[in-house]
Amino acid sequence: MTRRSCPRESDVLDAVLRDDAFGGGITDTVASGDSGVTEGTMRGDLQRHVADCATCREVAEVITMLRRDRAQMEEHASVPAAGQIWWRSAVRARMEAAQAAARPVSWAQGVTAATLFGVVCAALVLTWPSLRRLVGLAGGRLLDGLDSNVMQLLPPMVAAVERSLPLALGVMAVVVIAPLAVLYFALAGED
Amino acid sequence: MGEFTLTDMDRLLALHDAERTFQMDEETFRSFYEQTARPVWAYLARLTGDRRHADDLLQETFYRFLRSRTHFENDDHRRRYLFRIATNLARDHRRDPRTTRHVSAEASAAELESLTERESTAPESRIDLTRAMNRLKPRERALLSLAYVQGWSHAEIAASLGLRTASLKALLWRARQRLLAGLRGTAPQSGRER
Repeated sequence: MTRRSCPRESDVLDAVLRDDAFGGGITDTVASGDSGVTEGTMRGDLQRHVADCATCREVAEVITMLRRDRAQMEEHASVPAAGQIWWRSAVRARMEAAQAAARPVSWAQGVTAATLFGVVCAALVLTWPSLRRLVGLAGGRLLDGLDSNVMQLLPPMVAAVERSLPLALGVMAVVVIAPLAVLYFALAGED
Repeated sequence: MGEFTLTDMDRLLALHDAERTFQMDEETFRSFYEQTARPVWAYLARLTGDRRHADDLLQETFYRFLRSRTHFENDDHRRRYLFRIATNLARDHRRDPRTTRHVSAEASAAELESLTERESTAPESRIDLTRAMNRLKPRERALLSLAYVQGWSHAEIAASLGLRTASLKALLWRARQRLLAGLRGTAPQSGRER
């Protein structure tokens, strides 16, 4: 199919949109194929053109059909009252304002939780030498009662655990705490 | 993350605050709404092919309009802005999978046809038009409505739908052909300009 265009398409559109500029003339012309000259040079001239031009006739047909359909839809539309829309919008705006006001509080809670976690981690790292001594003392008493073969294996294992504990804490923070924090803020934003 | 609820006092305050929050007073809004609600609803119903979605989107359209901070030069500008919001909402609605979960497109179209039949003075031709419109792409429905019912210029339509003005004429022609083919029960072929 080849696209046809006519420079007067916009004239046809303007004429129909000018609200009955043709007094229904375009539709009559489309339906009957009649040139339908009416009073007024422009109207008659355009009507003659529409009758002769397939593109403009098609445009006129579609415009008339769509506008009739729209007029009937509008006539039977049951829209809420203006007051109802206004009231619902006012309540919603108020609710959104309340949520927006609460948002910084949620952020502050999140930041506080993250800071607290950081402080606990820092305290653990700083006190680790003292904790290690305490654990060593307590562990030594326990190990006194164990078999000598087991005793030979234990020191390297304990040393490995001691070396990797701060790293393990860091990994745990990233793997566990970070997704939880992301989830928290994502859910906070959904309200 | 808790649910927000408003007390009766909050609701009263909401009404009191509304005129400061919204871009127009209640009286002006009422008058504007009376002029525009039905055309916007009909536009949304044709765009979505579903009256219930049109009902929901109508409320949302006016809410966003009221919250907008745009300075309007005149009523025409205001009206076009409202239709632009409706167009964007209908587009977002199509992209949202939640909106198609409950009601299938076929059921919605059937309901629209049934209502059209009851309301129409020429039901058969309007049912045909409803079917033909529902077979078009959403963008084509918007194009035909904005150009032929609302009478927007090509530049305005292009800006609203995110298209190039230069391609508007061809797209409009194609949409028109597809609509007519749908009404005549024939399939349009891909076209080129002469």
